[in-house]
Amino acid sequence: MSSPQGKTCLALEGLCWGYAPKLRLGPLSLKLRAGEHVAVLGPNGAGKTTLLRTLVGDLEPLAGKVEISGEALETLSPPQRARRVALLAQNPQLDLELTVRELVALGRTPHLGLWGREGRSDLEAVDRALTRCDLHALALRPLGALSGGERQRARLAMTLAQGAQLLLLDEPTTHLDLRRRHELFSLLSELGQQGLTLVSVLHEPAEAFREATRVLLLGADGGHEVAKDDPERRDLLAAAYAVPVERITL
Amino acid sequence: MAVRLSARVSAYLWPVGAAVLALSALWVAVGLGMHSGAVAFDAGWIEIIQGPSCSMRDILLHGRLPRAVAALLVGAALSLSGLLLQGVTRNPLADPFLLGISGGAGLAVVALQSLWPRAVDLGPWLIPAVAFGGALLAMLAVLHLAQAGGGRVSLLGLILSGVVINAFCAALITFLMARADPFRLRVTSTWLYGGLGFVAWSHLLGVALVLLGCWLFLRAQAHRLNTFGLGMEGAASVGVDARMLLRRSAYVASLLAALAVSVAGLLGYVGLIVPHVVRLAVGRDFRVTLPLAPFVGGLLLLVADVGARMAFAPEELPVGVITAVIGCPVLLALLSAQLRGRR
Repeated sequence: MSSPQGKTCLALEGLCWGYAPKLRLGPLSLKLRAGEHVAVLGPNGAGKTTLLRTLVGDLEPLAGKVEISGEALETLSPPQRARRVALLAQNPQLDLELTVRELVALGRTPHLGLWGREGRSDLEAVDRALTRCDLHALALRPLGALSGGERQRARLAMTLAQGAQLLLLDEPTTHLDLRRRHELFSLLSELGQQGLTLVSVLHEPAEAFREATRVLLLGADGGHEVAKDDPERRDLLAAAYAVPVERITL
Repeated sequence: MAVRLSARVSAYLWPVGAAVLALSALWVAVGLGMHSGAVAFDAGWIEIIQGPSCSMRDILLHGRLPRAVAALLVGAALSLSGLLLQGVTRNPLADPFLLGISGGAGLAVVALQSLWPRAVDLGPWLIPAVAFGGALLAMLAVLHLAQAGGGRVSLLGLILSGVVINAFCAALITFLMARADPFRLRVTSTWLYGGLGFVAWSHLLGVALVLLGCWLFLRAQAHRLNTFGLGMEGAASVGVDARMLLRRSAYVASLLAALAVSVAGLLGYVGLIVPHVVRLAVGRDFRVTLPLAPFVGGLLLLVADVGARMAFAPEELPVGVITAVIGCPVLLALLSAQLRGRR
C-alpha cells in the first residue's frame, strides 16, 4: 500500500523509548512525509534497534506519541499495525526449512481472512516482492541452503510483500555485497518514489548521507536530525561515535 | 505468474487424504471382523452381512465399533497435540507424552480414582476435566522448568524438563497404584497403558465434540501458527499476537492430550511420529497439515490396536506397547538427525 506523496506518514511527539527503568532514550520529535527515507545513525547501544521496535509496536513507548498516517499506534490492533508498518529485523530466528516463497508469503499474514486463504492480490504481492528482490530463481529453495546475502534479500522480499506504507529496515545491507547494496538502494529509492516511507538503520555515514533524504543521529542526548548540507556534520558524527574526525568519510 | 504458496502441497493432499481414508475404512473393517484375535470372517463379517444375532450386535455396537471410533479419536487428538507442540516450540521432538503432559493427565486421573473412586458417578465429563487439569499443570511446569535460566525455551531444556515431569508423574502413579486394591489395579493399569476397550459412547461423543472444537480453533489460527517459523518477534511483526497464541496453543495441546488420556491412558509416540510423517508427505503449512494429521493419527492407532489384539491372541497387549515399539526407533532416528544437524 502506498500513501500519497507529501502527506505525513509517521509523526513522533516527544517520544522516549528504551527499557524502563534501566534505559531511557529520547525525547525525539519528528515528522516524516510519505516518500521520505530517513537513515538512522548512531553508535552501538544508542537505541537504534529499540527505536524501530517501538515504532513497530513491539515495545511500548516510555513517553510521547507515535502516529502513523494520523492514527495513534497504540489504538491499532496487531494486524492493523502490520498492514501499516513492516520491520526488517536484524537477527530473526527463522526456520531454515522454510522455502523462500513460503517465507515471503508469510508477509501476507495480516491481510488473510479467517481461514487464511490467499487471494489473487496476495499471490500477486508475493510474486511482485520476489521479482523486486530478484528471487524467482531461488523461490523453492529452503532458507538453510542460501547464502547470508540471499537470505537477507528473501527477508526484504517478505517485508515488501507485507504491503505496508512505512518500512523499518534494521541494517538492511548486512551480508550484501557491493552489487546487491547498489541494487538495494536503487530499490529503496524506487519505493520512495512510489510513496513508501522508509526508516533504515545504517552503519556507514557515507551511505546514509548519499542514499537517504534525511539523516537522524542518535546519541547521548537522545536524537536529532543532521542536515545533509550541514558543514559541521563530520564533527557531529565524530563526537557521537567518539572517534577522531578524520575517521569519518562522507 | 502467480503460484499458490502450497502448490506442491495441493497436488499431494487429496491423493494422500483419500489413501488415508481408504486405509482407515479397511482397518475399521478388519477391527470389526476380528474374532478372538484373528480376522475370522466366518465368525465376524459373514455374520454381520447375513444379519447379526442379538449378542453379535451387542459386541459390535458396544465393543468393537466404539473401540475403532476410540482409536480414531485418540489418534487424532494425540497427533494434533504433537503437531501443535512441534510447531509452536519449533522443536521436532515435542510430543505430549515425551513432555510429560500425558503423564500429568494420567496422574490426575489415577489420583482421582484412588482417592475418590465414586467420583466417576458424577458424569462422563469428570475424567476428561480432571485429565485436562493434570495436563495443564504438567505443561506449565515443563515450560517453567525449561525457562528456568531465563530466555527462550531450548530444545534440550524442553526435553529434560519433560523427562523430569514424566519421571515425577510416573513415580506418583506407581505409588498410588501400589496402594490400590488388586481388582482396581488391574482395571486401571489396563487403561493406563493404552486400553481402548473400556469406553462408552457417551464419553466418545463428548470427546468427539471437544476434538472438533479444538480442530476448528486451530484451523482458524493455521496461518498465524505458520508465523512461528519467523520466531516470536517475527510473528509479532506480521501482526500476530505471538505470546497470546503460544499460551492458547499450550492450553489446546493440553486439552487434546487430556482427551486422549481420558479414553486410552498413556499412549506414547503417536503425537511424535504422525506430525513428521504428515510434514514429509505434504510440507509444513498448518493449513494443510491440520486437516490431514488427525486422519493419519487415527489410522496409526487403528493399526496399532489391531496389532495389539493379534500379536498374542487370544491375549491382548496394551496398545501403548505397540506404539512404543514403533515409536522408539523413530525417536532415536530423530534424535540422531538432530545431533548430526548441530555438528
